[in-house]
Amino acid sequence: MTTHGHVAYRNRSLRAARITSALLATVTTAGLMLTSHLLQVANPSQAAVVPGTHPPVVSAERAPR
Amino acid sequence: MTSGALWTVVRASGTVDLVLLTLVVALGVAVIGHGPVRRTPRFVFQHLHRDASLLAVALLVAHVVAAVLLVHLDVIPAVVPFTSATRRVYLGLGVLGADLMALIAVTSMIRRRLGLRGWRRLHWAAYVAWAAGVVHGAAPGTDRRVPWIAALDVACVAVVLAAVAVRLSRQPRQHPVRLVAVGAGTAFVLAGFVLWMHVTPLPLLTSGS
Repeated sequence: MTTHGHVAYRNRSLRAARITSALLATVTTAGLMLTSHLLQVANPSQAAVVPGTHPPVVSAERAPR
Repeated sequence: MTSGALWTVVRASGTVDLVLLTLVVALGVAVIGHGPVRRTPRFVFQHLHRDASLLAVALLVAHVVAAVLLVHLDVIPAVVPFTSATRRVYLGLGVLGADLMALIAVTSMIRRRLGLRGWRRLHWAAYVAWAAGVVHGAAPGTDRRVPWIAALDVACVAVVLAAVAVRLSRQPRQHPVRLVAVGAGTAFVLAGFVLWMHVTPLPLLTSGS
């Protein structure tokens, strides 16, 4: 590969890395929003409890079988 | 911000951060060595590794700040591992992981001053930070009873184990016994993690029982 070709290859790779990083940031933000939504609608009997508190008491009908 | 919203921030940031940390560790395993990786220059992976790490640290800060505001943690339990009054071990592992991540981030910024060998030795702590984060995230009392969260935890462990196994199996002058040992070790650790998630359940309190 010529010097010119090598520089062009390097620049293309760097641009691809930057685009992928930007995509990663976007996917992370979207993932954060989706995770927040899914955790809010999760079954309370399965969800995490705030440290220092007890798990929620659920009725026998709602408990997973 | 209400306590419910803060709790959602704690849980969501922790979950996404675990996925990001897994990506960071897997990329870190991929960038060790010299020369291109599958025709892609190695610096591309190093670039992604660094950017993903910065994102993971930003999410970690959000996770810790929201947790401190929610639980009203004092400074010492939030910074010094295993000093919390509640969930001492599992919260302590999270604090340990966060401390190690902060150490790795700072030492990476002053890498030239430390020298490559010193920086590389400290960078091994990333595996400990990731493992502490996994156990902290999959501990009793977390969202691990939600099926997709449990699957995500197992997938994160599987991805890092696979990356390490591939890395170890591609070393030169490989002996077949060593390859079998790597495969068996990977399967053993993954099975151990799944078993641990099953044998440390959070008791379900039902009003009918």
